[in-house]
Amino acid sequence: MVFAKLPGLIRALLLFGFGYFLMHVVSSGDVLLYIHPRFILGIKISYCFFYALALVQFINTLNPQEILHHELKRGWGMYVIFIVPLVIGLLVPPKALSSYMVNQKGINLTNNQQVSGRSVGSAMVHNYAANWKPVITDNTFMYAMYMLALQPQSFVDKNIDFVGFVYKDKEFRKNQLVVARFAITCCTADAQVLGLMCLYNNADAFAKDDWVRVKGIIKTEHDLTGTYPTVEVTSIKKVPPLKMPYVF
Amino acid sequence: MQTNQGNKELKGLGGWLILVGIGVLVAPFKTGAVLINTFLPIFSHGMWAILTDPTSNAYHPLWGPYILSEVITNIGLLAASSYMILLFFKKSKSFPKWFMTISVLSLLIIIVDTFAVKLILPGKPVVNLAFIENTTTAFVTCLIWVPYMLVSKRVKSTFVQEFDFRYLHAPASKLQKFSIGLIIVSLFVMIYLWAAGYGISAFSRINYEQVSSLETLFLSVILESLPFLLIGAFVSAVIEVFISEETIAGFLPKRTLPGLIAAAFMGMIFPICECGIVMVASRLIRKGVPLHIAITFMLAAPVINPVALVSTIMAFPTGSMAVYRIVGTFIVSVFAGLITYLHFGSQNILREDTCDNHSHRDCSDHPDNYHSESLSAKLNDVLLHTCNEFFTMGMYFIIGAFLASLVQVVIPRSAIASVGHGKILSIPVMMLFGFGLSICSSADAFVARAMSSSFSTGSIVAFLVYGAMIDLKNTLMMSSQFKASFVSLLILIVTLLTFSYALISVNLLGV
Repeated sequence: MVFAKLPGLIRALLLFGFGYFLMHVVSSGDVLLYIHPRFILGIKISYCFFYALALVQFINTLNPQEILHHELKRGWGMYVIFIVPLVIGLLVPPKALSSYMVNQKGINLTNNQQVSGRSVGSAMVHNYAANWKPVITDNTFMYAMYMLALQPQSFVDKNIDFVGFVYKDKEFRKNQLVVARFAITCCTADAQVLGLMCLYNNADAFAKDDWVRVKGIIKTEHDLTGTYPTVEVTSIKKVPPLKMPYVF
Repeated sequence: MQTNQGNKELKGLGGWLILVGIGVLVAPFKTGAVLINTFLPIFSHGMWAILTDPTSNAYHPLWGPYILSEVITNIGLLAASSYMILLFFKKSKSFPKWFMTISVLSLLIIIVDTFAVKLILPGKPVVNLAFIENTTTAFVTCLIWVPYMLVSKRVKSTFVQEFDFRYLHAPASKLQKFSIGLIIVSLFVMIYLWAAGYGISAFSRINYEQVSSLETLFLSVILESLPFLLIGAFVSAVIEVFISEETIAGFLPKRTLPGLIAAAFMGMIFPICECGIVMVASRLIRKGVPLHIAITFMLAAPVINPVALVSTIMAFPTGSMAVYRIVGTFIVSVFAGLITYLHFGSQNILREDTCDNHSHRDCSDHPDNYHSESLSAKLNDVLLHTCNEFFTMGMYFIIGAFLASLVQVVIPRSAIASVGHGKILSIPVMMLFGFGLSICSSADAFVARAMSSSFSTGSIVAFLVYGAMIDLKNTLMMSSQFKASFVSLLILIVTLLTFSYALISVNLLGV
């Protein structure tokens, strides 16, 4: 009765598939296009666990005990659903979030002090501004952007040098472009856009999703929502897309 | 017999039910009046032709679909509310359900309608006298009469008749399903229009960017949650195999309220996040844990746990948001547990077809002493149960993850930002948003922070409290374990409680 054992075998195969998918994602490094590095250990444990489950399911299907008789009554449709993430994950080439999602998520250039608390933030910002280092790295990007947004006035006339992708909105003026990175807390579903408005006369030379390295001087601008930092570009040039597009 | 006599005074269409009765009697006339006063002239005076003619000044591509879906919705409401009069006076068992469904739908319709109008006529002020009157009526109905339907003894003892369309020799209950379906479909059409109007019509403008974003988001949600799903399945399996019903019974507080309060803080000791909690909660119910305790635990644990707490404080350093969040979650989960206790008692609310693994209560395929004694056999059992849980829940989880990613790709945040600072309207909008997003309770605080500059504090609180308890992914997972009627009631209760909490704590007390 091979047919009776088929659901169990399919299950074992699917569990194996999930284990393989997770292992593949970790070993190829693509995992960082989806989730925060602190989850990698969890993923590694999970694929070991999936392999173990696949094995147990397989052995038990071959030597059924009484428990197995009624547990596999579900329809075949459900297995199709499990195949979907496996197929997408293994066959479709992985791709990082693009500026399309900036459009969807919206970008906050102004601070949000009404929640963050002015007094707590102020001391932190002063401290940070006093120890300002112009070159922003992957590790310092997130914190630097928070500090800049919190109190842009403290950073006026300081130099800045950072890398990001270009985002443009149809409401932007001709000399405006935003250079930004996605910041990930857990996974790309909670990605936030962090970036600075850059002022550059030849902004048309750069298109959405181009990766650029910007050097410039920090200034501020006002609009209805408040004061936000801007960068007066002194040099901007295209760079190859980063292998590690997000900041954590 | 004694209880029956006690209930006798609380039976029949009297007391507060008189007010409900008046409302029910008036409802169809109100809907009819709207149809005749507002929509009939549109068709009889040639307005329709003007509004849908692309060459005219008043033309907007959404007028046609908007007016049509409004008319269909109102006709559906008219049919449903007329039918409700019948149910009310026949004291039909299904009256409370109908009443609650229609009340909540009416509220939703008003919200969606407001959006639609704002979309077509951006300049026109939405808040006028009629709007305030309509919204207040709908809110009050939901806030007072829906809980009343749930807990009132009179309602329980009055609406007991088996009256239905079946007894009128009409086509069996198809008509009710049809009219409810009609309302829901047109609601969805209106929500769709709202999204489409912002230039993101899902079908006509699908492009490569959208599809690839959808793939990335979908895989990312799956990857992030799989480990937690496995933990949930594993914990549930361990409970099933190693912990006996007697052990659990020994731990439980005997009185209701202390039990609920303890359950709300259980997450501090057992930090199981949203993805695994439904499995654990339903397993606990099968193991004899009282329903209300398990439900409170299920609602509170994703928020009242160390991880979610720390991330909320990190996102909102002043700490007041964390306090709002914890207090809110505590209040909502305990009250939801209490209402579950009063309304469901110890009824079986688990789905009957979830007998995929031998549960002593629902499926008697196995003798009670089924579990093997040796450790290796027990281990084998645990792993097999983990597989089962994974496959039972995983299907719903994958669908939920897909839908949640779709919401992110299709609906831009700017679409909801237009109502962000409205003190009242922003709350349901953010709740709906939290529902659709379905992000993990340890990450949602950061998303909330990013939105906090364009949304009222009350709505952020509502988002943080509600999104962790009820969301798309979670709802699908709950409906894999619990009966649909229970799931929809639970959602209703939590929605109303969260809304009132956000409204009262922030807007009225202004803390």
